[in-house]
Amino acid sequence: MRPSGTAVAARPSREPVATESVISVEGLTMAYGAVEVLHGIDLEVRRSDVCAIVGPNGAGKTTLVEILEGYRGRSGGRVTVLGVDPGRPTRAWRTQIGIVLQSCEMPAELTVSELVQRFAGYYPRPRPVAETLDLVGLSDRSGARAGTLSGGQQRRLDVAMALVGDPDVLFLDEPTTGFDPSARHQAWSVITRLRELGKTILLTTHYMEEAQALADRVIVVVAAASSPTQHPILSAGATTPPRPSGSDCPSGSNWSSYQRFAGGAFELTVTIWS
Amino acid sequence: MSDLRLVWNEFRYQRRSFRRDPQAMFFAIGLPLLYVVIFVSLFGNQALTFVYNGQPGPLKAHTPMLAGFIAIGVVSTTFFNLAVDLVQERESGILKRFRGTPLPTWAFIAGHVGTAVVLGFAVSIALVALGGGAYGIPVPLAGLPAIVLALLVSCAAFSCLAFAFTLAVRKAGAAVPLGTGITLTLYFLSGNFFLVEHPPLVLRILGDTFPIKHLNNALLTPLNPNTHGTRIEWLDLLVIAVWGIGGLILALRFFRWTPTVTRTRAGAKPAAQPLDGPETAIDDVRSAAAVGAAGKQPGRPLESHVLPRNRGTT
Repeated sequence: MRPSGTAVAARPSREPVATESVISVEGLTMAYGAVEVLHGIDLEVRRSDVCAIVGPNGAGKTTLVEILEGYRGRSGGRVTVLGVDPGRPTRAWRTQIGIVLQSCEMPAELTVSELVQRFAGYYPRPRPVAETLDLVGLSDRSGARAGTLSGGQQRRLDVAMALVGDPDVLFLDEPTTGFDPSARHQAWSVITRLRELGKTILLTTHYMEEAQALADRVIVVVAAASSPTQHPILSAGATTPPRPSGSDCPSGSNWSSYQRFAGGAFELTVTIWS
Repeated sequence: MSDLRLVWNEFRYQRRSFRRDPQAMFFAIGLPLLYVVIFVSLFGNQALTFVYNGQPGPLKAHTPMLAGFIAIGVVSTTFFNLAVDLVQERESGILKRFRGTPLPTWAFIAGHVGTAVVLGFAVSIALVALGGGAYGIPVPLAGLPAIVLALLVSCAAFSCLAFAFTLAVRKAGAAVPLGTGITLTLYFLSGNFFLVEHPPLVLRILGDTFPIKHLNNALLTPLNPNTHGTRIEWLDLLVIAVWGIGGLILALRFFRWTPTVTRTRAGAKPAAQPLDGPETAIDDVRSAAAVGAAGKQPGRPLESHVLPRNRGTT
């Protein structure tokens, strides 16, 4: 049920992306009792892709990411991350993924460099701590206690702790929620640098502009009541109305796709399951 | 990195965190020292006129008091502090963060237990030094091996009980009052503050049931200058060890790494629990998931919209 016929373009600044699938999700469902949170999610993220999941609070973004991170079970469907079912996480698998949680306090008594050094100790081939702190722009705060950092700095420390193991895949759950515009743009520059390192990144966000600025692919998880043709990502900047196209739909599935054109050029393909 | 180095890594940073936390330092080390100063100054030189807990006399009050306050120091560092830390770290997401790394569960636990054991010994040494140096409480050298053995067994056992205690606390703010309530009650039941010749039968049975009174006795016998032989109270150590093993079994089976609040959404029990428990929990997830799938409501599912980007190309 993947939108296999839709085109994905590489960013001009990057090398051609590999086609190897790093994250593969088919028909993922998740229910809390009678409340169904995820219904038939399909997703494929290829190596070195940056993929954004956008949606309002309660849409199931964090549930989806936590299933991929190995924190949470699922009700149904097939999921693999780096070829491993995250429902059966192994120690070797965990050395290949880095996680930034939606919210996480730091042990306040340890310094920035001590915390990153502590996490480096968990991995077989960690990145140098100083280089990692430089990457996230915390070199000048390396001796500061974690409890004294601002919110934005704590988030960057969180990214450093996720990155120090030199993982292949990074999960960033709402990395800029609560930031002011300045802090948000600093965070964007960190994520851009991670993309330049060739990391496969899956991030969640509330902000459409963040997804558009950072991601190669965007997945919108919304309530069924929303009309896809009225969705901001389709209507914003569109010079022609989205037009439905069933050509990419696999047989037997209940979904259709829409395309957005701007300035005469094809911009986006939206695939809607129901 | 070898597994032993992983444990050392954990031990090193956990110890450093503790050392830099003045509140934890006060509760774990300062408070037992303060108890010695207050109680031994007030009542320490009184000679006991009765046979206390079957101990041979003559005995001054300061000796059982010192044993009781060492026990309080051990329980404070290895149970109370550790339990409160674990609950607060779990509810603030720190444990969840660790769970997302390759750090094995056993190395994390070993680092915590190692830190607790070192702190337990440190506070015991400080108490013995204060009691012996400032108040002249005798510490028989022949009893030292029995004291070290009692400390080893009790530090390990109370650390395991701290992990089990976290199962009963769902909010970070409840850890301190609940932990204080439990330990203070048991200190009174176990005679750590008051030396009573004939406590009421119910209270005596309760005191005998829980491990703190047995720790008091396992420390008092080697501190008592009138005892002879190895001075090891094997039966008391056995009771403490049984409590510790019970705690360890509960912790290995049910210890949670994720905040408790994430277990429920919209007031419903989740069909699939977080995968932060032992291996068997994953099977529980699957069977629960099957139940959830069977009861699935067809109406108003969520949709996923996939938008592959194609920047400026056709």
